[in-house]
Amino acid sequence: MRILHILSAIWKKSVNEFLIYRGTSLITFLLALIFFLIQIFTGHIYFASTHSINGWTQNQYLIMLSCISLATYLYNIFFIVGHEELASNILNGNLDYYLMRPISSYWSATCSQIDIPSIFNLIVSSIFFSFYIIKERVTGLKILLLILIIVLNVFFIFVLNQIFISLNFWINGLTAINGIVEDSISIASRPMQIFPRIIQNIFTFVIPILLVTNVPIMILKGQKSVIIIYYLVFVLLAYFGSKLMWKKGLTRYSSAN
Amino acid sequence: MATGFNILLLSHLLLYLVIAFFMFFNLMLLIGTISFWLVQLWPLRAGINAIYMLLGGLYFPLKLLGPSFAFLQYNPFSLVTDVPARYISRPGNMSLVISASVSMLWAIIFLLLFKLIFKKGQVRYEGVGL
Repeated sequence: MRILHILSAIWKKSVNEFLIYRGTSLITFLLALIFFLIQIFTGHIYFASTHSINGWTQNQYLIMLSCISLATYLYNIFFIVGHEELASNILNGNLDYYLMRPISSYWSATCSQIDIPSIFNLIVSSIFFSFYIIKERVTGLKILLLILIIVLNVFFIFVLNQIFISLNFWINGLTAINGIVEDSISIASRPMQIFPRIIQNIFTFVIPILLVTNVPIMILKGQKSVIIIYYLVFVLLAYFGSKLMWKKGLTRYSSAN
Repeated sequence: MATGFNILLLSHLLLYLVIAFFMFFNLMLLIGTISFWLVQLWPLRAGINAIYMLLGGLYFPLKLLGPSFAFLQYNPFSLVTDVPARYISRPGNMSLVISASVSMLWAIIFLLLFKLIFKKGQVRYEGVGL
């Protein structure tokens, strides 16, 4: 019940901001839409003269792109605004507001505002996703698994960003790596087979960004359930790691007030 | 390099890269002025990155789009990525004169636009008095 009250307050604040800064909201929506449409257009170019690349069909490739977009927009809705401010809040000693409240600072500092324009982007990519899924004719169970993986991907993007931002407790001026997770996922939005073996192994087992992009298609093809379990365990361990980093980082935090 | 990349070609490439850098710097400067009107800049990151990857020929060579889209090779993103890459892979087979001229033209346009928009943006600027 208390959580609902908090979320309701965050929602009201976000809607107000959305209405005040309409220009920014419109540009946020348009740029994200451009990003998504460029990815889809690129997919059509890749498959313009062939039906299959490395065992992937065009429709499977487009499902992968729409899954990534859904995860990215969901992450943007709940966490991007908080994460964008968090690094500077740590460096400038402005975390006191979150630390003094009777809720977890880990969550209140990261989920302080909802990005409303991303909701519209989520709707657009959901329409594309539904269209490609209907074309693929997959079972209800696989659709459910895909949705669960999309939620897991959101959590992975959040946790990885949280870890990178928490490094600001130890290293000054690390804002240069802002967006590194989103950029890496954008580069990894390809069938993993096209990457050299060493790159595949690093970005599957060390930093599993290739799993974020490729697991949905593995599910569609009914492949490699062991890797999917590994991905789940990795995300959970990374979450606990990020919580620990936050706790240790706060002991190094200096307030500016 | 074994395909005849001599000192002259290398100096042409370096000179071209300096011009392309100046042009791209001005483009980024111009994009930066949007911050006078926006309260958040993170949305620019993904959108501009995607445009850069597409128009720069990083997703796929722009030649794949066919001769009707040949004009795209003179877009600012292609001039800093696709053109130098093609020059390095086939030294001696292409001249950088046209690309360098177009880059300089873009650089001047971006610089003039930057000055104009920066002036307009200053009207909207609010200091916090620190």
